[in-house]
Amino acid sequence: MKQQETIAVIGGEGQRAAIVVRELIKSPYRILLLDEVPEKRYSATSTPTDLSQKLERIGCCREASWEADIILLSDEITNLNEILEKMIEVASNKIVILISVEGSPAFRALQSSLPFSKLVDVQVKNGRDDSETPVYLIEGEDAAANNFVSSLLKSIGLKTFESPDHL
Amino acid sequence: MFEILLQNIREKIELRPEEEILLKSYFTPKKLRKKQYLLQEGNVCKFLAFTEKGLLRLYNVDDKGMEHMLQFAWDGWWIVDIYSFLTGELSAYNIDAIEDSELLMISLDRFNEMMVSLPKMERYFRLLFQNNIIAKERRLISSISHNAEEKYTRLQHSHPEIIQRLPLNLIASYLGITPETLSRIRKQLAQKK
Repeated sequence: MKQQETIAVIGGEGQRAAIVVRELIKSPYRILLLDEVPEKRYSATSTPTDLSQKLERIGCCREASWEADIILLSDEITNLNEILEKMIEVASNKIVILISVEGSPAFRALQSSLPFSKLVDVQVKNGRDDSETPVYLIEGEDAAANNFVSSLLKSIGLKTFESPDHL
Repeated sequence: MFEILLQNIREKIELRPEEEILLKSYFTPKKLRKKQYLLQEGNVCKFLAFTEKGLLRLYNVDDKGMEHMLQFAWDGWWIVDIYSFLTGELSAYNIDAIEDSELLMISLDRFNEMMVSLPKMERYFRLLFQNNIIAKERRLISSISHNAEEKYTRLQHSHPEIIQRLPLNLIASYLGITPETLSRIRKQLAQKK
């Protein structure tokens, strides 16, 4: 049996992250959720009971990041620097995925705050609203982490491509 | 977060403050809840794990579904399926948390990088592995030559803290005896006192 890994989702209330989380729920990953959004936002079809078995709420971003094997952040978090400060100690050597848009300064903040994490910037192209299918550009300095994230997103049915600089 | 690990390392080698800072960068902090797996049979053991806090067990499950305890790790102990970790082969073992635990894990790549940038750690791990080999040899001899009561009293003498923390069925499994035999031994020993 493939071992279950845990993904902490921080800033899932943002629309960009919610699209990804909606698909992640269907995956074998255990999802730790840190936000106040009602569970229904993540699925139009699942009942709250179904979702609560896949999603687990946790009250602290540090604890969520500590338990997680992979951390997923959205650049839509308003208090990003505060969250990064809490995560520093417990995010070392973990894959940290940032769901962002082109030109977002958030990835630079991650690079500055989390020097020992494997950072992957996942930029949403097109489809900022639910009517279009978004495509995700994968960028980061760790090729293995980029490949992992690309595979992860593809496995949950999302379209990805890697930055030409890293081909 | 690194207090117990650094204390453990300082017992064997001396690291300068800047080396201790560098050391921390190689480890992945991980919290496990009770009954959560660190390693499941059939997967590769990707990490060598140090227990800052908590209690874990390494065991396998036979064809009849019986669990056989090979090792426990509590505060200040390392735990790993060393063969799977070093070779990348699938593990025949499981590692899970008996108590909520806080671990510091290191992957093989980071372990090898650490050996290059902190050569003193080679001495630390050599001493660790030496002690581990000696302990395994002693356990093997004990399993062959000691009776159930002797095995229990030796464990009680060498690791009294584990007798307090572990459920009796896990102690029995570790000693290779039935829980009923263990209960009988404990009762007899209590009556002797």
